[in-house]
Amino acid sequence: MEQTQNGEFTPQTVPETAMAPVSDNRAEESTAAILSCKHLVKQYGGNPALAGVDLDLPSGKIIGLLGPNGSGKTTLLKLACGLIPPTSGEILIQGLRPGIESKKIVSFLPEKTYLNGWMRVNDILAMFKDFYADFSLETAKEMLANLQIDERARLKTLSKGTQEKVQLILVMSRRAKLYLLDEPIGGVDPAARDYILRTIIKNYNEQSTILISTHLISEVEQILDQAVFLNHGKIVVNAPVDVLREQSGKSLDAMFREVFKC
Amino acid sequence: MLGKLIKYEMKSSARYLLPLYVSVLILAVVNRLGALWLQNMPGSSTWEGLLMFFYVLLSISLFVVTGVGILVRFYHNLLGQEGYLMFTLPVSTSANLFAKLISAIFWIIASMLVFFLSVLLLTFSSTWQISDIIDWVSRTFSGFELGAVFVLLEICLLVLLSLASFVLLCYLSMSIGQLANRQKLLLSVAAFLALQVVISTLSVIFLSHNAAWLSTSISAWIDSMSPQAAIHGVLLGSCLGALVECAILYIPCWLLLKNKLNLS
Repeated sequence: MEQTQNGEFTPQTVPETAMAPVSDNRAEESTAAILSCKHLVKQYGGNPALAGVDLDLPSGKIIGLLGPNGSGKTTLLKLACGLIPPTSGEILIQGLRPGIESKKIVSFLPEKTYLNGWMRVNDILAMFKDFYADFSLETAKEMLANLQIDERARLKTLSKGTQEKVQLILVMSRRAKLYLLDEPIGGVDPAARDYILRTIIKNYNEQSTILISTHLISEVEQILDQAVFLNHGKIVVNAPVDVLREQSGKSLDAMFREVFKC
Repeated sequence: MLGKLIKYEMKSSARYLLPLYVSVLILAVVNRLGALWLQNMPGSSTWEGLLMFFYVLLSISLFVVTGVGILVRFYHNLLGQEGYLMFTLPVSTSANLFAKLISAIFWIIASMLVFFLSVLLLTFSSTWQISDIIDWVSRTFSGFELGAVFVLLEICLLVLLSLASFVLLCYLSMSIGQLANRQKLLLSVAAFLALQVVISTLSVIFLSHNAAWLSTSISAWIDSMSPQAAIHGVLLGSCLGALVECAILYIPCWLLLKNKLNLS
């Protein structure tokens, strides 16, 4: 990766090889892409959250969706899981527009806690089993036991961090094709972070892709295959992490700090 | 999937509504027993008054909690953070909306039936026999012709559709209110009032422009029928009107949840 004279990286100085290069061979990859965006635009009251995103994400990768606050990361995830429609352009999940069929293969972890407080942990497990054919009750119970979370506990009595762990367990206990994780380790302690990252790797298989949106790059860097940098609703970097490290001679975290230097 | 959504809706509301409904019924029985036992005892009127006060209070809360519970459930479960789960389940937006609507109507009717039953228990006389009640019901209905049974069914349908349209009006107001990034609740109330004004204004405009035509054509239509047929006509016409109102309120609500969801 090229550097400026003072050694900084900026979106403009990112080499072409790392600049969203997928558009060149999109035709070949589109059939294999688990997530495909074409000229994707999302505006909120005239303000662009995403300003023409072209992206094809392959199967079998753990991909970091990285960018500063307000760069459009959460909007991209919300579009992919069908919570909001695009203003223009297209987003496809394994060739499907977001809808009932795509939701069957997408497992979404929002940044917010979405658990029904009145339910017990085993109630929410039963609910997931009811609605998702790919939900593994055994996997979920095993992870709960590992983290010593009582299945009979009411969700509202759990700490925020424990609720986040339960939520991650629910999401990762599905055999989904695409996992969308919005800040999965943001609210938990460092010890739990390691467990969560191990959980993500353990439950990931070659047929599925995990897209992780996070600020805590140094924490997740070790598990990422590919990094997508988003800034002002546009992709400024999209390349394998190894290539980025090799070209820049720096860690992804250091590179992020330079690209998005305030 | 609609069945599963309704199952979770019912479970969610039943946990606080069922204990309330049972409490109202128990208090009605306690009131009746108290009235019988405390008869002619000194100071009985104070106790009876106190028991009746609690019964009235609980009866009012029966309707208030049912109504508020329905609104809060929609607001939190679909428009609040729980919406992240509900709208990423592999179900359609209409299934989510219908599950809430069906459950809401169920609980409103249940609250009315519980209140009716509690009044029966409160006024229960020791001289009453179950056989008397069965006799009364069979006597009442034996006099009914088939047409009258249909009238009863049509009235029930009209009540259901009217309830649905009111619940949908509340849902639409909250769906408009959630568009704001702040003060969502305030905007929901404002939207409810504004929708009421719009509906009333449109009704007045429609009636004032078509009053003469409507009155002549409806009276001519009714005159051309037998009295029984006229009753059916008016009831079914009202049902159709309520159904159209439901559709008019449902469509924008569904569109807002599908395309303009603004989860906090």
